[in-house]
Amino acid sequence: MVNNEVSNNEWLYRMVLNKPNYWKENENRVSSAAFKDSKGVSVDRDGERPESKIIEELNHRFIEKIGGIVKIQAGFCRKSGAIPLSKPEVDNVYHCIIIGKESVELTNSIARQLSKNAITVMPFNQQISNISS
Amino acid sequence: MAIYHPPNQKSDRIPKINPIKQKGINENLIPIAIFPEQKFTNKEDLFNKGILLNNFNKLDNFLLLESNWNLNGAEKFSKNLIDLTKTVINSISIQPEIFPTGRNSIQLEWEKDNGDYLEFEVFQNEIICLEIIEKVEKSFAVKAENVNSIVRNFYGKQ
Repeated sequence: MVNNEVSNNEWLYRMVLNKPNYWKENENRVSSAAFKDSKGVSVDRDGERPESKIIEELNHRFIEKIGGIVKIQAGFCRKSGAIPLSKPEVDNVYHCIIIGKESVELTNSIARQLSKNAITVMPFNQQISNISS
Repeated sequence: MAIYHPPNQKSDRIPKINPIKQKGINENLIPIAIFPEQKFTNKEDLFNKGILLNNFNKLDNFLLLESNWNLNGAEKFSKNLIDLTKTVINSISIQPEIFPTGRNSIQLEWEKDNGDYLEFEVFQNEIICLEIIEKVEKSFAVKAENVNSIVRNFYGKQ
């Protein structure tokens, strides 16, 4: 059972699409555009799972669409002025969204902070192959 | 016809170098025929035109994205928004990196090695600028016709 409260030390994993491309090669990270969504930024919390399992599950769920995976800590989101909210789905109890304080959408400044501090855990276009279904 | 795909520009270097020679680009692949009415003063202009063309292609591809393209309910991009963004980038002398967002906007970005950053988020009815220079942030609405001067100021050009 996953707690509804997302703790500050939990990592939030963001699947970034392969198309369109959000990767900034010169800066070696994703654009803040990947953190701009009118419905909130969709992420998976770690839920005390090993990172390798999280990466495998994201690859399995988004096998045709995944370009890379980045992670950001919930505490950093809060420090930046964003709110990580648990929003479990029928097939994914780890689902969360990151939203702004005054509206669902993040400000440009917060999106920029998140993208700049996100850690790449699956480099772009290096998807896991031979995933068991 | 050979299609020229320019590499990602190291944007803060553009004013200082001849990017074509610097990046070892085959000059024969630059699509001169696409801009027959224009006279280019130097290879740097030509290089930026190549990036502009590439950005136009990217925008055309955004138009092909279907509803829910981001798997989170994003809307299809309107032709009006794509055309507006094309008008904006066509007026810019130093081309940006371009990304779509999941809130019906197109983002234009420039970034220097020292961390200075400039961004315009183009919506159908407004353009929002985020400028971070020496870690000082400013965010404000701009008119399309003022975008180029802000970009040029960012690079210290008048």
